[in-house]
Amino acid sequence: MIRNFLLLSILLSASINVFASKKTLLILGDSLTEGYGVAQSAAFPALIEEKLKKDSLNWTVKAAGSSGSTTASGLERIKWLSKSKPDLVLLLLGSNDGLRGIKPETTEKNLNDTIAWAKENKLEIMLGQLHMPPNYGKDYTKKFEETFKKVAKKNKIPLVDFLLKDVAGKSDLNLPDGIHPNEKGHKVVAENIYKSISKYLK
Amino acid sequence: MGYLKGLVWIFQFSFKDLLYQKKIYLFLIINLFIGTFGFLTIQMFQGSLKQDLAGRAQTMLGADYTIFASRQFRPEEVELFDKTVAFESKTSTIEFFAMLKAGDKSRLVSVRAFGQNYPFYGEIKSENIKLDYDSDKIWIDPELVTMLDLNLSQLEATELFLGKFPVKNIEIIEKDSTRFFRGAGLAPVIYLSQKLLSKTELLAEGSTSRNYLLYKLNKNIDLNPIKQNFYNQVTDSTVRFETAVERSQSSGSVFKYFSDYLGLVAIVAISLCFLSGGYLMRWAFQHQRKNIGIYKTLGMSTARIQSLYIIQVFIVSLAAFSFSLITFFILKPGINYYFTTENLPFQLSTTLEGLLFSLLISVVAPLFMFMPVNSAIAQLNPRTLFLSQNQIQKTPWLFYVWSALCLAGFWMLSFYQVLSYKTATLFTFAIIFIVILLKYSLSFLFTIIQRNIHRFSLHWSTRYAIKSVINKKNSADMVFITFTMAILVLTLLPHIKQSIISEIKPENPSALPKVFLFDLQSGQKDEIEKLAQDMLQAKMEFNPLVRSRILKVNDIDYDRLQENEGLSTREQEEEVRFRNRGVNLTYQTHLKASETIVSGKWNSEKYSGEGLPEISLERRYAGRINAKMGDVMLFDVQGLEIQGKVTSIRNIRWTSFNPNFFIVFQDGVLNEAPQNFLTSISTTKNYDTFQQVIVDRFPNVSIIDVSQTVKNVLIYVDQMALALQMMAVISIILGFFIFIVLVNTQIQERLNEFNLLKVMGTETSTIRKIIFKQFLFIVSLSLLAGLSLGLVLTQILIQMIFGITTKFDIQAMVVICVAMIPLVVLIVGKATGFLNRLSPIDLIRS
Repeated sequence: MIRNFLLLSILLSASINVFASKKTLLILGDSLTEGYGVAQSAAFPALIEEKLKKDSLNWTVKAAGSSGSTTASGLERIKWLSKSKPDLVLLLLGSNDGLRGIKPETTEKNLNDTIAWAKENKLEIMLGQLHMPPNYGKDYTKKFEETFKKVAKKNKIPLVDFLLKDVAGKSDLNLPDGIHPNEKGHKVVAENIYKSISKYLK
Repeated sequence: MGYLKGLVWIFQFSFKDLLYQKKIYLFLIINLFIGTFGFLTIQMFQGSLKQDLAGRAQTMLGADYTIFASRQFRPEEVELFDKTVAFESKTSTIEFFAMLKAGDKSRLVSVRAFGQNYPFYGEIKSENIKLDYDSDKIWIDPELVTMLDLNLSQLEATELFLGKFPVKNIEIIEKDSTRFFRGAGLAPVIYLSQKLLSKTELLAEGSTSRNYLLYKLNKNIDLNPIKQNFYNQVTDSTVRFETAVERSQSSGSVFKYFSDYLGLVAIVAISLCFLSGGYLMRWAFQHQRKNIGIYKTLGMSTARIQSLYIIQVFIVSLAAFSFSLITFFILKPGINYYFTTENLPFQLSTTLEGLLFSLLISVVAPLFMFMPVNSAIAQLNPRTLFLSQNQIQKTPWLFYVWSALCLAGFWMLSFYQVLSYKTATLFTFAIIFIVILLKYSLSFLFTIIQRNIHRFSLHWSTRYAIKSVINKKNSADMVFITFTMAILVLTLLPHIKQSIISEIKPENPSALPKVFLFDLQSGQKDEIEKLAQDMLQAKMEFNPLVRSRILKVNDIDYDRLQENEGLSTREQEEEVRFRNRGVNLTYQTHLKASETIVSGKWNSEKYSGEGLPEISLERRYAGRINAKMGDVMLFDVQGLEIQGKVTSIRNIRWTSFNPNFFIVFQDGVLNEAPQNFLTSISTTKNYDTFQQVIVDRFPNVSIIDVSQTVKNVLIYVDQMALALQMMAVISIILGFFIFIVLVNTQIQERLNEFNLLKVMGTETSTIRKIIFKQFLFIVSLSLLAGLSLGLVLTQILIQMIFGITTKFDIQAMVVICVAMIPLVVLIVGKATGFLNRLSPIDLIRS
């Protein structure tokens, strides 16, 4: 195990060293963060980095998106990703929990566990608010939305505005699957997130 | 008037001549009948199987084609679609995920809201009732009853809601033909009428749904031009057009294998017909040389003689086809009875297209193959009557023109049957190459034998038999090539059938996965493994799944920026999306049973840290991303970059139903990366209790039940395997008849030679031995060449058309070998029966 980690560390050291002088924002998310269907440079994490550069902020953005992942993966992934010592983590997990009808209580527990571990390990963390489309029913969508507010409140961490605001449900801003943003959609997403987090990046 | 009179005369003369030489023409009709009957049967079999596949494709879609998008269509769009496409009737479905709530429990369901008359094909029903647009019932998958603890007898008391719609009447789905072959989805399905949709209040702005417009045609037409026209008119790439066949083929490669196989069967049948037709026409000409010489001597014009034989060929082939048709209709009820007893999913039907095509091939092929003979008639000089009968005069340029026309005709017929330029061209070129190869190989072999035969102490009859074959080079060429080609095409079908069956038919059906569990986290693995061990007595294999993106291949950027590409076509856009989609990586120490290495060597045991980690790619995937052996790939694994080198390419048997991956890393590289696991369960004993425990303890784990799909696939594969087997057997039988024809005609051709031997005092038993040895020599050579070339061509066709692992049907090869020798002995024995009746006067007469 230790040997494996050492091997990977060697492989990864180059990429980590490049960012040594800058602060790192780690976005831990799912297919939206992965930039499913668009080039990495057109996905919102890269666009946020461009904005930071433009505003002369000494930050770099690292996207750790994994398509299909649920909040259940949050804890293990943050443990792994914390090795690169991010200065701030934006937790954007939960969409797949909702899409798969996982109970909001389960999502809440997973998010709490992930955030608690981050805090214990002195990692600054923020949580992204997520919504479900209306077809999941009012009861479920309401509970789902409240989950994020509850988690943020309980852990006393900032809650970032819904990243897909003005994007969800708009065919011109999404891929043919109707779920993932296209290049135009990612620009709006980047704008939404940047507006919400820029105050924490000064 | 004079022309008409001449025509009547030539017809009358043709009939008279036919009757005068009835023995020969009857022989010709019988042989042609065998060929055309075989062809007709294969055509009808193929047509019936094709109809069954097409019907099954229609039931899977519930329509002939669909236009769909992940958004609602605007009325003006629908108006445009309806103008662009052809249809008889139209309906629609709207599909989305929602929560079905029963009391305090709720489950994710896949809702399918159906329009009037849905589905046009197949059926979706409960024990009592089919889907009904006017009903307020909903039809649900059976597993929802246990998932939500529904008490069906007291449903009124259960607060069952789909959105705002209170469900009072439910039906349990018993049959759903749209899900025959498709894997189970993420959630159980429920159907409800679109009339009730507004009552659910689930679809509003921002909802994610997929909208399907489903169309039914009033006649069978080629949908490809319609699809192309649609895409020309509708440029919005979010709107898609899909035909029933495309849907069925995307649901399982099994359908595609069967369709491709049917195409090959048709080409093989056409090849056999051309081979036997061509051979018989040349043989018939040999028999008519004397008469042609006499007609010419008596002053009949060449044009008249040519017309005479064209009419006779036409009459003979038409008669043979008519007898075939009558025989087919007599035998059809018996064949269908056999199909029923063997549970084949279809009956042998007669299609007008099949009949016309068979008529065309049966009548036109012999006429076409008669063309070089026709030119030989013009060349024939009556004095050649006194020359050896085996010398066929031919005009080289005309012969080559004819050969080119013949190949073009063969290509067109093949294309018509398979609708694939690739397959038709591959097959045609393979035939050209093989004929040339055989011709020159035989010449080379004969030269070697001729030069060295004196070195061997052979019995004079053996030496005579071999020399006699070598000396009649033209005849030997023709027989050898025809024999070899027939053996070659005969072995193709069993080999390809065997490869398809071993690809799609599991060796151990009970070991097939019944359920897939995915999104298992590392921390949950051990507990789930223990539960499976205790409750199911099953050992689980966990497949790690590491999400990543390919960044570079050989230092060249892999992903694509939309604006850089200037996407002008849907295909370009699809390619960009494919590249930008991200990939699942895995690592494993050993090759699975469903995997075979086709290039390079399997990953070394554990990554030592030296050099680049090894990667194995799936063959078709490697082709799609244009990666090859030795390429270096750079991946982004959740923000961290990892390199690897392609050291092997694998074939995967996707129909194994086991978890398989496109990219497999060497062990020891990704083990610590963020990952989740995928596993499967093949046992059903105690499964329900196990599932309940998993759902309660691990709510993130998703379960997909594929048992019904696997069951359907196994039944269908068994039925189709039998159908493929039957088609291969019919082709072999047809091929054997061609051998009978060949041997019979060759003996007829050699009668004078045998008679001469008899006159010279050779014993009848010795002549018989010579005949046996001659045929044994040529049949052994043909068997050797045909079987070997069959193996090579099978390998090429399998790789280029099917892309599966080749499995040779050794049994069929043995059957062909074992059956061929006694068959030759039997036919030769029977045909040489008249040796006793030969007298020197026959020689003088001839």
